[in-house]
Amino acid sequence: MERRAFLERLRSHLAEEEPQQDASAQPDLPERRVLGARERIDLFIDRLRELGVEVQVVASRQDAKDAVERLVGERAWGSVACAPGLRWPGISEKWTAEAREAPFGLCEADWAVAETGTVVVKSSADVRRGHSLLPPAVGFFVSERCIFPTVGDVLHELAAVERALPSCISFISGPSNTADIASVHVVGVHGPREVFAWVIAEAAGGAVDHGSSGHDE
Amino acid sequence: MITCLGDALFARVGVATVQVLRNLGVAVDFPAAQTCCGQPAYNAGYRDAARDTARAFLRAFAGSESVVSISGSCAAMVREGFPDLFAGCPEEAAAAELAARTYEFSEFLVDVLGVRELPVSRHARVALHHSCHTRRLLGVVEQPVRLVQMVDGLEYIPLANAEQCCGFGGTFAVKMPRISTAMVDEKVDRILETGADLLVGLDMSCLMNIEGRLRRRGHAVEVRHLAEVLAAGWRA
Amino acid sequence: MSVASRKAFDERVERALGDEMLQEVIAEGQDYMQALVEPARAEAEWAAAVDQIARIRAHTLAHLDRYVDQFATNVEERGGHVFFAADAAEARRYVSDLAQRQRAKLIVKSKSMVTEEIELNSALEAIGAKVVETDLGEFIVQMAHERPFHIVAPAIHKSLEQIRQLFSAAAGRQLEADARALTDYARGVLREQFFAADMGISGCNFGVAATGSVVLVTNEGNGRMTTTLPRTHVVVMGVERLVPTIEDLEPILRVLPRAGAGERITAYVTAITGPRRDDEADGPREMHVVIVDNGRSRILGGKYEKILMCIRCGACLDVCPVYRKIGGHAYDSVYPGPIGAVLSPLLDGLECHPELPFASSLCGACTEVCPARIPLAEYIRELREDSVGNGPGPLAWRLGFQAFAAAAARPRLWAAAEAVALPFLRLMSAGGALLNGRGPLAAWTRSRDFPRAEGTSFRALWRRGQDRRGP
Repeated sequence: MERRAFLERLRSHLAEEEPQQDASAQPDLPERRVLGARERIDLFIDRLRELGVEVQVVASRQDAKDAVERLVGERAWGSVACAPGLRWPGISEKWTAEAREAPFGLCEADWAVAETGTVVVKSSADVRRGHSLLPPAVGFFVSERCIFPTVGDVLHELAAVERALPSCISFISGPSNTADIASVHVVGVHGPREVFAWVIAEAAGGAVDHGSSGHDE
Repeated sequence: MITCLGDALFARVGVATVQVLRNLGVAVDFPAAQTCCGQPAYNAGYRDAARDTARAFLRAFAGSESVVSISGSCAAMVREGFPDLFAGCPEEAAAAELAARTYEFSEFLVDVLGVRELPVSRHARVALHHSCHTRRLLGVVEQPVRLVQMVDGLEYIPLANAEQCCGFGGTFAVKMPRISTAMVDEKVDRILETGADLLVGLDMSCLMNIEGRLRRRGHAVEVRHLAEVLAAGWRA
Repeated sequence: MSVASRKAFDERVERALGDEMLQEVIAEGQDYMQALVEPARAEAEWAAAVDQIARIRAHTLAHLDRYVDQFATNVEERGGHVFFAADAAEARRYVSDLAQRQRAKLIVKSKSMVTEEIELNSALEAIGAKVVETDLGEFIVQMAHERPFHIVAPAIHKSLEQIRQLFSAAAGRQLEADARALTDYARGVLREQFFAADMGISGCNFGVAATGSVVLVTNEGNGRMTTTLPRTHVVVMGVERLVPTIEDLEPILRVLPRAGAGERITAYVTAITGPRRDDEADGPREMHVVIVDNGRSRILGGKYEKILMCIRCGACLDVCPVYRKIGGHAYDSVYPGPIGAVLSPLLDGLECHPELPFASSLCGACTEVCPARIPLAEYIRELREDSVGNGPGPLAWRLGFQAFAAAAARPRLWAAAEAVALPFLRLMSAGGALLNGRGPLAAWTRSRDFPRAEGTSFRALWRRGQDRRGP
């Protein structure tokens, strides 16, 4: 059906009234959790572990890189799918952009959610959707600065860039899973089976406190 | 409110209810013009028949200070069904006014009369059936439990899956008898699991359904409306 | 309700009631979900989120034309194509024409109830495309040539052994009776399909009008695979599945995973906005969004409008005592359970599903649990009004209720009717086993004893008591 006719058919069933301004946006939210930086990290880690994510807190980005190199060595992984911007010389011969055959994918979390143990990844020219999807094991660097208390807080950040949203944003909470076969919970279906997270908790100086989101007052 | 079912089949429940209320110092009247609240017709989709019936109900209870029902689902019909039935009708205000003074039996005792203790004895292991409309439409859940616990000698055992429907559903029981029977079978299983020798409830419709199946399956669990237990065990 | 239709319904019910394993599976599934959802529902945050969802969805529906317009504009601005499908036939034609033009031979699908509603798979198969369901539950029922049994867990009715046999037959070898092994098999088979597919078709949990984003809420990863790997991505969505802004997703994401799967959040929540950007190296090159009406606009603005607020969480199926006994297939509709009992007659017409409004005891559990605040039990009751009011309906019932109402409005007539009925009731009581399954109350007495009749009405007792006591 032609667009105008389709919309007109909808309109014909609706009452005539002035469209309300912003009736949907953020009405009467319950008091947002106020979480200090430490609490946020602790909650995030608890939730990640509940989801079966292997998580390590490290004091610096360098420590995170070292941890990845150790893991790649232990597992004898032949390649690591990763965006160019995230790579470093350490395991240079293993980096690849093509995720299809890689046993491990490494990503940088753009945001994270403490309450649900979620990492959020945007697609871009360098960051392929496949990096966090195709390999059977994936890992995320999560800077403490990007950990927000709730999903709503991250949605709020996204709303601020709505005109420039990437083509794909993935909220990832733990490994892929299902209970579709006889209600037995199985981890690792079409997406990754193993998920790792390195939470980079830098010294207090650099951290911006996202303990409470300013917009809920 | 004796209800159509109570009037025709369960007079003893009405008698017990009157007794208990009188024992608690309530002046009880029975407006003889009452017949049915219209719920059977309403739930079956016969709106006009339901409204006609409900109109007579409004007239019958026009002069009553409070209306106490032996059935939670009938009280729910008055409180939830009448506003829908009479929306936009001349009786709308009268219906709202009546709804505000209509109560289910256990609710009336606990919330209106403020009963906190009862001189009632009965020794038995007892299970309690809440009935769906009483629970979900009236929000009456705690009141019958508290009354049961006030009875000296009753050992109360909560039912598993208590909130699950017993399968009566009015005309559903005879329109979809196979499904209804499967549902009441599960309810009977849960009751038997408690080892109770007495099942107490607030709705004779549900109780008659459960008792009917209990007997057909050869079980002797006694089935009583709460009012009957209170009246019978009232210490002089 | 035609005799043939009722007979078919009864047969489906009997099949379900007679299947012991099925009865156990459904009851276990319900108990499991209820145990997860009940505590969540008691939290203050739940109530607040449910309130917000109701407000957002009601607002969206009240201005649906505006939001659909905005959504479509934004999808197009991001390089997507939008097609407005008035009905199932139009939607099928658009997608199959597209598949034909693109010579799509292999199509992967992630879960979408609306594609089942419009019967898309058969249209695509008719043009020679192979359509593969990739959601594990849908993969199973597709293999078994069955309808989904539940809107969130399509294959919940299948035992491990039944699935093992299905997969083994497809694999040409005996697979282990182990959920992990069977899942790995499916993963292997489907991974190849994802990479080889020409087209990926997905549903849409929610579209965001302000950005033209399509949001998928999933656990398995097949949603992401379907919408990332094939060259063309087609989204099929019901016209009502919109929210105005990204932030409106928050209360929904708080509630949907919990109500639907007992989880705090699903493994993946993916927001797709347009096809891949020019500088991106993966993602579909083309994106088509098919917005489907198929009877929804008819419901808009009418007395059943709130049914369009459904977020497809499946919670109503998890608490329904009737579904507990008869399972999803007995409903013989794309949408089973309480939501189906309302939606299917509204979309297809009451005449297509005459039994559904009556296959309910009106217990109200569905209304109580619904996170979108849809008065499901009330709607089921109202559909009965529509059913008996308009159609011929069984004459005996109509006359019966009319007579009942006439007597109820006249107390003396009522008392007289009782005087006639009571001896009959006493007879039913005394008749005992002789009358079981016979006579006008056979439907009751076939399986239940008749109550002990007292032989006197309450009003007669009261009058006697009054007479004795005097004025």
